[in-house]
Amino acid sequence: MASVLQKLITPLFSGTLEPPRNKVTVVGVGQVGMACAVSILLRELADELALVDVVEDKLKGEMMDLQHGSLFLKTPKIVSGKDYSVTANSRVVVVTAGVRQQEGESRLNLVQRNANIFKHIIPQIVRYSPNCILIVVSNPVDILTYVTWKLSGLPKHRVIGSGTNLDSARFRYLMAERVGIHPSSFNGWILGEHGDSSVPVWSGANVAGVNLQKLNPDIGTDTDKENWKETHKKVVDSAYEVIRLKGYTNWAIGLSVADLTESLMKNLSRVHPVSTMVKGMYGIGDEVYLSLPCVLNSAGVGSVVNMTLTADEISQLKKSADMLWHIQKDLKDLER
Amino acid sequence: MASTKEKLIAHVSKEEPAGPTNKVTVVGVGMVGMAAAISVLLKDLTDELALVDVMEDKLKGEAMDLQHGSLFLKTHKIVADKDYSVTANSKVVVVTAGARQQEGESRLNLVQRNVNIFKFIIPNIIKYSPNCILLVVSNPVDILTYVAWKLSGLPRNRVIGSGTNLDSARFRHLMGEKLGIHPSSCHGWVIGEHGDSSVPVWSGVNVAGVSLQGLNPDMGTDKDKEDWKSVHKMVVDSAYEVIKLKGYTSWAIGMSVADLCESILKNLHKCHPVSTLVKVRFSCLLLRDHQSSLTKYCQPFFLYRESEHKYVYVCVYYNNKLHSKPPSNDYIGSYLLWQHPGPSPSEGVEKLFMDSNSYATQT
Repeated sequence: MASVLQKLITPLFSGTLEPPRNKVTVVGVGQVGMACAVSILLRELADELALVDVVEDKLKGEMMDLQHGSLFLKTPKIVSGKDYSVTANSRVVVVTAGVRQQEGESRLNLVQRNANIFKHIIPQIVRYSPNCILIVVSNPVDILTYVTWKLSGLPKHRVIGSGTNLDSARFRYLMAERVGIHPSSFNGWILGEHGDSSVPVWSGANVAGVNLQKLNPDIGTDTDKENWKETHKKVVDSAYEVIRLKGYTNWAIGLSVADLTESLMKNLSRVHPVSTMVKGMYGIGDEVYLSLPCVLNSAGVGSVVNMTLTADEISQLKKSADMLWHIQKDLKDLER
Repeated sequence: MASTKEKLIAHVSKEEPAGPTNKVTVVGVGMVGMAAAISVLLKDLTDELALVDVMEDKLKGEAMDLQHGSLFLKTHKIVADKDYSVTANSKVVVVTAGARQQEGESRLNLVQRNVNIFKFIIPNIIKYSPNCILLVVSNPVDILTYVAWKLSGLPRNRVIGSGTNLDSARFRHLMGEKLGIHPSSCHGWVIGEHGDSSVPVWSGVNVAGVSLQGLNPDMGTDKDKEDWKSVHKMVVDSAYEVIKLKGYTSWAIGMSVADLCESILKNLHKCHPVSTLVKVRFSCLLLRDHQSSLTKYCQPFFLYRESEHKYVYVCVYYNNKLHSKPPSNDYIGSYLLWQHPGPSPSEGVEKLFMDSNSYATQT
């Protein structure tokens, strides 16, 4: 007695289905992970989405909730599991797992807690998706991207930290508000360490190619009457402010990760400020990850744009590099 | 000394740009409200998004978090305040405010809690957006849509409940899984009450116009070997299941709300299963004889058949007079009618569900 399916459908192709071509995995289904997942789904970037976490009920619930929306999406397969085998053949893996920054806690205090979690996660990811590109989001992102790179054994261009992509987005939003235009029409870059000591490159800030520093040579300094430096300070304080108000941040970081994923999946070669291995640049001698303008394509970080930085900006980068290395050198058991 | 901005930008138009043309307000910034907000933003549906809630810190934090993502969005203005003036001139107002369904709690138990909240919210919305369309999501959605309609004074076409839009989406997803087809190509409608007693219309279930019930006449019954009925049961259980696992549901309802907003804002004329006013719904019992003990719940009626498809009820008690016999020759039987929801008479009596359009008189 033929089933409805057999009566309804005549198969034409009965071999094994091809593996997914545009699979994305999100590790960690907390607020940040789910914001990344939803942004990636609604931007239609993936043909398969995998979710991994250790909390099994929450993981299954989140997967079901997303699956129930599949009518409205163009991602036909959404899977999840505690076991990393569900992540096999991913092109991009977004790592958001880790403990959350507490109110008032500086990012650097999270380090050892998250490094220990990564020792379990990263080798498993690479085992099932040896050709993937890793995007690390968990904080402190620059250090954890270094940890990820070490634990993965992947070449450096395939391990990216979300870095100052979000800081730059916030900066462009705040600056654009002051000027009265859309953030995408305001070009401004924040580089270096994600967080307290990020570096706003005032010499590059422009609208339609008109350089703001030429209009106002004091911009970004303490002598500036218009106090544009305040905008950068607001960017640094943003995360703490939102955490204070609602307990965590997720939407903006989710959207920014989807933006990076789009460049990687579609081989766009767009330039994004993300955290990459900067040893050998700007006089930095240690293996640290800092954000620079990177050209992202399907290979990962295809190349890096050589910013013309002032001596002061370079010294700020070097200072960040030293501080990060100071913490990193004491981390144990990172060799694969 | 001109400021940087003045040096950078020369104004061309003297007038301020006109107000928002597609404004959406979301009332309630809990998980459902924010899922709806992010779905609306990522679908580029609106040029202004307003958020309202009573918890000021959370509200401000959520608004800031969304604003920080502006670079990646096409919604120029995102505003938030406890004061409803920020919602002015909205085209669509999504109401998600209210208490959340607890694990094991049925939707009907939420009613009184949420009615009280609505008494504050709805008049405020209408005050600032008298021409809006209200989309109610809070549970129990069918009842609260009725409440919102009553409190708003809006015509019935402008108050919609998200209803079984989500149930149908879940049904189509499960159907798609069973058949190996994308949900958008699997057609199936779940109508009626959102939740436990929703109605899957098995006769309409089809793929490419091929009726599945035509292929499997037992579909939806207990005899069905393929147990399609359990697909509908899974839809009903879905919400409870997800709540048990992650504490609440958000993503699916958020996406379904954005789907509805899209149809409204873009004037698409798409068909959606949503909660709308049907005049009055009745269930009725066929009485073998007049069972007066039951009349304390319900109003007894005589039922006639006026024409092939039209049934007419005439009330037994009309203008306080008891009709001792039915007034015409096409008398079919005596019936008791009662309104949903309400206490139903005891079991063991045959039940009939009749459409309200055949209701002729009302006391």
